[in-house]
Amino acid sequence: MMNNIVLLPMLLPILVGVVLIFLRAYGRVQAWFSIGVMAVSAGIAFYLLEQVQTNGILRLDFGGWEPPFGILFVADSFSLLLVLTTAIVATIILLYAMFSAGKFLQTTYFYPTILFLIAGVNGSFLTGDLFNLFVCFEVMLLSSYVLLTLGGNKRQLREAIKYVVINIVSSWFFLVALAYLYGAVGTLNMAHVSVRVAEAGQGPLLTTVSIIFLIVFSLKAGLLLYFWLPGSYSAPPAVTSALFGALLTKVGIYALFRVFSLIFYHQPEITHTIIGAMAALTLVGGSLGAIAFNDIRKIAAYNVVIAVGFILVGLAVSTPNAVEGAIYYLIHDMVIKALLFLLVGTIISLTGTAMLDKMSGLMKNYPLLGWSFFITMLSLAGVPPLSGFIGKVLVSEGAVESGSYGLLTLALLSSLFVLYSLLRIFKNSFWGETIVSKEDQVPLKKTLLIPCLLLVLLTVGLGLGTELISGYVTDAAETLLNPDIYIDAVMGGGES
Amino acid sequence: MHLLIFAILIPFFAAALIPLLYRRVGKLNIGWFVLIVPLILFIIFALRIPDISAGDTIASTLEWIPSLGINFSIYLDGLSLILALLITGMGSLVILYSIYYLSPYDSLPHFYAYLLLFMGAMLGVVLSDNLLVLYVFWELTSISSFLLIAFWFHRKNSRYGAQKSLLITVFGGFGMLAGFIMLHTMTDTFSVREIAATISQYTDHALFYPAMFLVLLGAFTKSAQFPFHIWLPDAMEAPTPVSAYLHSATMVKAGIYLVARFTPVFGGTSAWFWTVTLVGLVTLFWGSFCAVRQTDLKALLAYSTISQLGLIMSLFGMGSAALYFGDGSDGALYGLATFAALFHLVNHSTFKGALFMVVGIVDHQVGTRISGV
Repeated sequence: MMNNIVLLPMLLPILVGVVLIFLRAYGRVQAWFSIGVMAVSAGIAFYLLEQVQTNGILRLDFGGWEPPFGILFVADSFSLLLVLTTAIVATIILLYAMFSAGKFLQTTYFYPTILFLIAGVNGSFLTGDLFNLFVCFEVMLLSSYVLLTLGGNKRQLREAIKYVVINIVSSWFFLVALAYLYGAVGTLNMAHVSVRVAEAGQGPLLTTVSIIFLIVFSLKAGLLLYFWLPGSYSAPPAVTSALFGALLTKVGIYALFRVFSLIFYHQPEITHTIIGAMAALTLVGGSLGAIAFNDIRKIAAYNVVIAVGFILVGLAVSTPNAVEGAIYYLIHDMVIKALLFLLVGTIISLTGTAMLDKMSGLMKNYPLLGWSFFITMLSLAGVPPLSGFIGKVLVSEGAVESGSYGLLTLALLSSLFVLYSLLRIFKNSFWGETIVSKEDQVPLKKTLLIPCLLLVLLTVGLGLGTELISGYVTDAAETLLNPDIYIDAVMGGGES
Repeated sequence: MHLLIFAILIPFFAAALIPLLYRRVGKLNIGWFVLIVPLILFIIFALRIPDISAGDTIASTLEWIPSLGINFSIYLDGLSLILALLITGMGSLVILYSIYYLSPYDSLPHFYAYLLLFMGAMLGVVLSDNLLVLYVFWELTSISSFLLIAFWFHRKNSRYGAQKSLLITVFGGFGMLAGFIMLHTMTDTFSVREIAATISQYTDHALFYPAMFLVLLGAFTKSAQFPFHIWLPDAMEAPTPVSAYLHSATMVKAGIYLVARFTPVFGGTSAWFWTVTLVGLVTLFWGSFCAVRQTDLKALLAYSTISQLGLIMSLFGMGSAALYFGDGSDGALYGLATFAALFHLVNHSTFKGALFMVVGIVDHQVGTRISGV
């Protein structure tokens, strides 16, 4: 099925972003425009998702060039679920940004950059071409460089240098991998590559190329190669951290799922075993990091790492249950990481410190904030009936089915570390003697609390209403596990 | 859909209503309104006694995630009914006691909301037939216990005790979840009854014993069996009504309930018999051994609870041998152990609940609960 609307989730943010550049001085106007465009893309993504359920995978060939010759966008349930979640989460984060970001941030191209970032993210989810994926990655990364340094304090600049260098190196690797792949199979259209790889049989050369892809995407996703992540995710303002935590690593995870289920699925005993080992080490490293620090921003950032490991357990195992669980968990994690970083940012703005041992008794001053954090903690640990539960159950079930007991143990134990790391924050900062009297407390603006509460509602709703999205998730998992569905939709001639 | 499903949900609704109600009751203690909930539930369950003792059972289902086979299905038989009566009966008495025990300066709406949350969750544990829903309620009991232990969260010891109990019980819970998932992988159902009916085909399955031990891990952590008993004494930082209700009468019985519920599934194997019996006996010994050197009355009661839980656990372990011997006289003899276990379960809840309440009164009147000062 051809459909021009498939382009809109990427095009709309770019167009609006360009317009906003000319409205630099008007922070409020920019904010409302950005929120509006994200809400509209959420609507579009939902419409497309429904279309996919009735008409099958949608695609758009640019310039009418039929695959495999032109560039194209392909929208299946997996892509669209992520685009939809991105739009919803971004809307809420922007709402928070409007009320929290200072005047400086509001008027230094903050909103246009966020929109370009989201355009890059959506483009990566929707593209059906590997080179185009590289381009979308770069759109996203360039925006993230800007966002990371906006504000310009010393710590941000220090982390930005590391972040930029690492990403440029990994982009270079990406290009090398693309060149090898193009040299080997003569195409970069994902569906076409998949066909060619299947025809040639995934020999040692192609498997090696796949491992270069694995390294590239692992760097972006923070799978084992996460050493850059805690620093750069904890340096920028809360809004930026929330965007990064919710969206950026997810693009890397998406690329790993797409490439290793659509293209390089012939040698799972090599590639998927490596992914499994990397996921295991990520779980261990992330768990240790999460309990080691006193800085609550660092704790939150290491929680991102743990989730990456957990989701990739699903890919390593690759049974139907595990993949379905990984998709549930991916959606859950986008919501809950945004919430976690927003709450952490709010706590820091209220207490003026990020150090655990310097805060106490916030529960008395800010009960709603405290309960939001409590629910976040439970949801992150996968405690039912919140949104993290079903993903955890299904990934674990997949691990049991395939006999990966080591991964099962690590995945479940990591939840315990997640719980402990956040319990430390809850116990130290919310419980205990109140050290600020009612008169002296910094007022918590309702406008900051509302975005957090919306996300809390979302995590509770996703947990209780799992049945509502189960149809889409099942379809997404089925497409991932049966590459032929995707290939047929792309290569099956240009009807319409 | 049966009305009993609402019996589980009523406490949750009531808990949600408390913040609204609290502003309206004025000077009257909100506990009086909360008391109505367990009283009504107790009557509802008590009215079922004739049917259930005649051998009837009640089953009903409310769909939650049908596409994954996870539904809110309840099942009421004799075992569930005993526990349900304990939960609502002891609940009524504890709430009545707490009305006079807690000071008006404490945050009463929080206290009663947590207590109702616990009551609903505990009823959910004993009435659920679906393993994953049982797990949902199981974790909810851990969480409400955590909140109740830390009710006076400005005290360092309360925070410590709450954290310790949550980490240990949730750790066991995760293990239990893995066990449930293994059972589902083997039998392709989450229903306890269906699993019990078909498990005999799977006793040679590679996952049979891992699943058994993981389920037991959940039961042992929750019921404070050796070596996981260490959280219970620290949990005594909770207000005394909570100690009486959660940490002696009901929540710590959840693990024992789980063992009883799973005896038809795993019972009859020697691994189950020896593990449950020996762990129970070791706990029985170690609990009493530690109890005699306590000077804090509540700590003494906590260790005596541990030892009594060990006793009940070991009785269930011995009773499971009845499944091995079948209908013969040996089977009937071992079956007696199960009967004694159930009887003592009720016994212990009542007398230990009363003891805790008395200690609470002593503490109130004397100002200390350290004996020998």
